[in-house]
Amino acid sequence: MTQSRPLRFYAQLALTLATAGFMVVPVIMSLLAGVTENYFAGLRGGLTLRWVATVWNMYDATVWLSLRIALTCLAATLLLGVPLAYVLCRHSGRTTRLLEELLVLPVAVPGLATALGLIIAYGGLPAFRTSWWFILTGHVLFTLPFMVRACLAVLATTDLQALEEAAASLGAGFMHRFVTVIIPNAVPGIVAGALTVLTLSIGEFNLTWMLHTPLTKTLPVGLADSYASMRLEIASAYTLIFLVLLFPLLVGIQIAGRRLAGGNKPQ
Amino acid sequence: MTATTSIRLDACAKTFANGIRALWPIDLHVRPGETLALLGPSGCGKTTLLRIIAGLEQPDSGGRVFFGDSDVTLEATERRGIGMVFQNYALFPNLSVAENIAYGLRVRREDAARRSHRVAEMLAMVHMTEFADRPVSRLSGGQKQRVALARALAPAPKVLLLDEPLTALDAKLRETLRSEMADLLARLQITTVLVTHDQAEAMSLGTRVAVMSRGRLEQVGPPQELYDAPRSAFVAEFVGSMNRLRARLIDGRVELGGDTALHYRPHDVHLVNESDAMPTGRVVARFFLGGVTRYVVELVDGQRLIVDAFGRSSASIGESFGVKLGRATEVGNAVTHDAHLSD
Amino acid sequence: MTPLSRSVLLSVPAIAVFAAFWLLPVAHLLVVGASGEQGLSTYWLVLTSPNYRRSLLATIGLSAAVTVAALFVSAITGFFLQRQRFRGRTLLVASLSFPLAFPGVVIGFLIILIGGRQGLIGTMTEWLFGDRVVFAYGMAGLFLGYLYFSIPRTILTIMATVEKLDSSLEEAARTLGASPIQVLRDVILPGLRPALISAGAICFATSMGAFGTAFTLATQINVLPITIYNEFTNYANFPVAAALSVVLGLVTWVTLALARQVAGAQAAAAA
Repeated sequence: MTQSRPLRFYAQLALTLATAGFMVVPVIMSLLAGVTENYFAGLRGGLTLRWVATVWNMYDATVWLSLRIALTCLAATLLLGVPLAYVLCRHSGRTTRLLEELLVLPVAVPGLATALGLIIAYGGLPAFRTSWWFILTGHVLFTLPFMVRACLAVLATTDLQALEEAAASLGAGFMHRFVTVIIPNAVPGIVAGALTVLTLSIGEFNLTWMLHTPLTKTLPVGLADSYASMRLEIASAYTLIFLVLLFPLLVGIQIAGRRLAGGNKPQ
Repeated sequence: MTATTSIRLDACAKTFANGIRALWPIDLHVRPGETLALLGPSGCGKTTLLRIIAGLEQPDSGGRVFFGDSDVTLEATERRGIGMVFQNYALFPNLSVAENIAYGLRVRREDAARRSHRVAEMLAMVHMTEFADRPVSRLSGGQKQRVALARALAPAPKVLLLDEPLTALDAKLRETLRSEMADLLARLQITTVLVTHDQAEAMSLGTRVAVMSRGRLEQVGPPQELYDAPRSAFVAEFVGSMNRLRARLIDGRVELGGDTALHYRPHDVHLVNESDAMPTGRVVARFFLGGVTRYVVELVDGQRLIVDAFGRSSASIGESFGVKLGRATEVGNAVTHDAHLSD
Repeated sequence: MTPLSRSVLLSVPAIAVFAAFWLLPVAHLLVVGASGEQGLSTYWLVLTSPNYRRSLLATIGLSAAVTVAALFVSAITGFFLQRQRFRGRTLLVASLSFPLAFPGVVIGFLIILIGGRQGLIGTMTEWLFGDRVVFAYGMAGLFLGYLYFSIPRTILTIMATVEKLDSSLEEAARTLGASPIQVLRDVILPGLRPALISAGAICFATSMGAFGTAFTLATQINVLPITIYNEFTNYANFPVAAALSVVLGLVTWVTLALARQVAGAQAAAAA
């Protein structure tokens, strides 16, 4: 126990606190700005919810649309992703690894490129192009790998083959096995994946900005609009609404993640 | 080689931050050049004791660690001049075999010529010369163990600490390495403390053995003494197998039943023709172990004895025999948890 | 139904969606990139013409700088937080990782709040020195914005790796006489190398493709995604936009693939 130990500790602590401050201070400022009467007067000007009310009147459609897209995206990734995770887990080999690599491409490649591709390929179908399903497509492509990976991570730790064989020996057919054995074992992954999908979809901008039309504006798109053209209080109040929406999801992800890690620890 | 030193622990106790008490105050003296084996079941505190000697754990206040005459209690691990072999070997994965062995010498700024000479010497000592440039990830368990040993000994430490060195190896390999290690330790004459839960290992490698249980020293002494004169029922039953028979000796005859117990080693019990002079027992289980056959024999009053028969033995299950009880082992009274058991 | 045919059936929906809505469009993109007046040489053009090259180099430079800074800060703080236990630690960890899901637009806004014309720093420096420091709309603002979304990602990866580090290696080094600095250099950093590489690659790739932050900050500096956006939306220059997107996509994908090779499967799990 040399003398320099405390010094190192405090230096690292200082850096950590500074970084945490960098992360947190702007957010607090933004939250406060959304509820103060006047940004320049600051807290002395008094707190109010009128900016929040104004924002809601102007932009509530964006919130509903974002929620609708996020939930539909969740449904889609569940239907597409959970069976796929099962297949990837049971048949791990060259082909399935290749499939995993392919699936990750929409995440590895910038959203802008994916969006551009979608517009060029399907821009000619006006009904599709101008509906929210167009945006949904982009979201599903982007979030699917996260759902698959979360389920795969959990399924890989269970001895799936042994469980299935045991169930089969007891007379369970495939659908029955899938519902009573495979899905329950994947639940921690499904929960973590679901929260991630919802969070990513609600916050998605890179893809959505390119794919949106004036009639299909999501929450982040609305935010960008307000940052460009609205006064600071409105932009802040809008951001406040967004953060409030996001917060429970973020907490949920933390909890789900910890439970996932705890369950995967070696016995 | 630097002269080796004695190790002395004075009232070393340890309670961890979560409230678990790993060690009650322990006094221990390891003589220069001897190998002391710390033997006990998992959780008895033996590894904690070893780590206190190494400086990886600090004893609770009041506890002191001495290497020879110097008090090293407050000395950091890196300055104690120890060599340590970890249970999982802890070989540096980014270095080759030779580089691992050279690490301690590098830290001491030995010049390159002396370093490579010493590394070659160590490699030869553990019979790993052809593996010098091998990456450690491609070594088998036994090979890793040898490299770990060579690495710990290369800087000529004053003291050698071994944490379950053979536990991770399979049975046959363990036997081979055990005798190699016994040779090495005898040759090097370096003060060694070895932690193990395997009593065969402790007895064959240790000049003295310290049996521990639940944070306390039960008995310290040469292996033969522990075996023949155990001071407590725990030591009697932990070291080797032991029968505990509810019986009394009256005029040289064994009378079953009563409140007192007699202790017999399995090889001190013999199956002979039935007679009135001794109790009768029926074989209820038979384990053929190669050179010895182990029987479980049930006596008339329901008590069971383990009987070891050496060489070829063909008693079968259900057969009845006379049970001749040979020399009983004297077991001392329950150990008073007085710390001065060191010498 | 055989297990194999069943597996195929189960994976067909996802594969079909992927093929129809990603593979096909990207193929279109490649074709459109070559369909302009210059044909296939459009791809060459976007790499060599000064405007686009400046944009590409600015993006690479910025991404590299952010990666180095993020890794440096995260390695120190991540190691510190994982190894030390003290009151308030959980809160610190949470505050460092919650911005993980913030979209770039919001981060741009936060930077404006700090360093814009009415920003916190500007107000403070005016009060202290009489000079209003505004940095949000230049390279510094971009850098800080990118750093803001990179740090949570890298810290979490590093903390997860530090947790799995084998402490017996550090102890072994200490028993051989190594000082704390030597232990750091010889045992800890080599042990963290895969995580640093994979986290760094992800950080670099994300920064290369980031759009929202630069969009909100509306700087004079044109990072590649903004250039692509301008080409497409303002100049309707589809071939160039497509070609630039393909180049950008290739760069990020290759970075991630290389890192995965070098660092093993950890990269994929952390993305």
